[in-house]
Amino acid sequence: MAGMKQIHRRGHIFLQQFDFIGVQSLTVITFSAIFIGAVMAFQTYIPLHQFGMESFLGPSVGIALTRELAPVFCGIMVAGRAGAAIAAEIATMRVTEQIDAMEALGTDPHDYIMAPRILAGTLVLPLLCIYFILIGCFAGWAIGTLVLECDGAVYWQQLGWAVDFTDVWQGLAKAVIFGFFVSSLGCFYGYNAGNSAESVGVATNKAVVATILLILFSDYILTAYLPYDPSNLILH
Amino acid sequence: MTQATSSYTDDIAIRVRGLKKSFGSFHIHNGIDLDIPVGKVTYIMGGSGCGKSLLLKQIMGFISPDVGTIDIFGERMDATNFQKLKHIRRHLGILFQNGALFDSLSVYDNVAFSLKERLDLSKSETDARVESLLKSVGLAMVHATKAPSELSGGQRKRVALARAVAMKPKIMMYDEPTTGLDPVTTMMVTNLIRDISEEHKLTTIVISHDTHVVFSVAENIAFLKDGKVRYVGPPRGVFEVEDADVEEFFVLETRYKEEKK
Ligand SMILES: Nc1ncnc2c1ncn2[C@@H]1O[C@H](COP(=O)(O)OP(=O)(O)O)[C@@H](O)[C@H]1O
Ligand SMILES: [Mg+2]
Repeated sequence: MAGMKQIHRRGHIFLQQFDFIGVQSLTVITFSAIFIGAVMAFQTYIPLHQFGMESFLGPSVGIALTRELAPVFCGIMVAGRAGAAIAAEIATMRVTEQIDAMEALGTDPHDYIMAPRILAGTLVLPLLCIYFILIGCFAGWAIGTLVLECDGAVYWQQLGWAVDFTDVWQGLAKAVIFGFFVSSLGCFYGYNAGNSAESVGVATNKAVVATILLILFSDYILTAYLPYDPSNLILH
Repeated sequence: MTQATSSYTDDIAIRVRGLKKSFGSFHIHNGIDLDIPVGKVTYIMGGSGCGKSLLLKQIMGFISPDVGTIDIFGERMDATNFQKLKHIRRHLGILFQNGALFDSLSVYDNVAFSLKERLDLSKSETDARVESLLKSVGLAMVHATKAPSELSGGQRKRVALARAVAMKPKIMMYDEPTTGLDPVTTMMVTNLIRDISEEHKLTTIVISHDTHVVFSVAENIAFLKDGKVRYVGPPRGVFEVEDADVEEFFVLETRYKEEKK
């Protein structure tokens, strides 16, 4: 039954969701990345300065952002913004019987509503993550050179040397997984919402809390068990 | 399957047998037996919370009964078998209480929804179908580009009706189509249901607790109380049965409405 036209329709929803979850999150992600990058520069500068290792500012900011802060903060910000909105939208469809109506019309809400959202969320989060890393590193550089009087060239040189492929793929792997959690839990709690007046709020709440907890928990698991080569660590 | 086929007769669209459904300790249906005749307008009536909507949801396969069977044109409803469900649901159209239009789509895209999902029509063919569907519910094409939120309650119901009959179901079900509407709109919607039934030669099921309009439109009435069918038959018959509950519901309700006028 799924002809070209039907696939095309779902592709259109995918693009809408890609725009909503991704493009429209850019402002929030930009500000988060600036503040996180700036704070990281200040905080890591303290111990580095004590040991006279200011040249390691770039690597510590870069690695923390790439492996940890960018995927986790992107996940949490997008959970709060898009995950909540997805849950609320689908729960509203449940409460107002739009989901039942769709099924009655012979279209499976799983493939019409959920699949494009889950796919978009899963694909867009790693892209947001890369953007977060870049903005965060620039913010760290700005604080490092303007406030902490570090050498900007050294910052980039050391950062480029320290952050390698393993760090990037670990960060992006996390982002993919977190993107899947955000969109699929948003869909799950929305779809399984009750049908009373308060169901939409309850579903939205549950989706956001569950997503953030799952992100933090799985971040620990992934950090502890994702394979990496210890020789790549900067402090080696 | 064999049993369903053997008990199937051409003049029964939906056959419900021994239907029971409970939620926790609440026994909503306690053994419902009901035949919905082909090509007629059947009103299912009963007090609020007696399980009228639940019965429709089981007929649609949204909810499985605990016990009992539902056959639609001789085919056994099975809410767990998605392929079968999809197949049987082609016969069924439903109008939900508030229309349940897709908020994110225009009137046009709502009406064209199943056309686009299930057929491979050209743009102009789809346009033509949408226009004639809107016309059959008394709406002009100028409404097509509007969002559902820009429509009145009555208009929303018309659009939802156009959407529901787009794929030409054989059975159309209405969940409280007139509840909450003013008397004029109630008459309008009631007439629309009758006209659409005639135009598309539909088997029609209407859930209602409005005893006033029933007698002018219904060809068949089923009255539910305490999880059972307490009366089924022609409208006039409700005044002849010796059942205090039936009498109370129809006679008192009607008298009350009359007095209110
Ligand atoms: N999915 C459900 N879960 C729990 N209880 C339900 C569900 N659907 C219906 N009920 C209960 O079944 C009873 C009948 O509901 P319903 O069929 O909506 O009544 P009505 O006859 O007014 O349409 C109500 O008491 C309702 O609370
Ligand atoms: Mg109801």
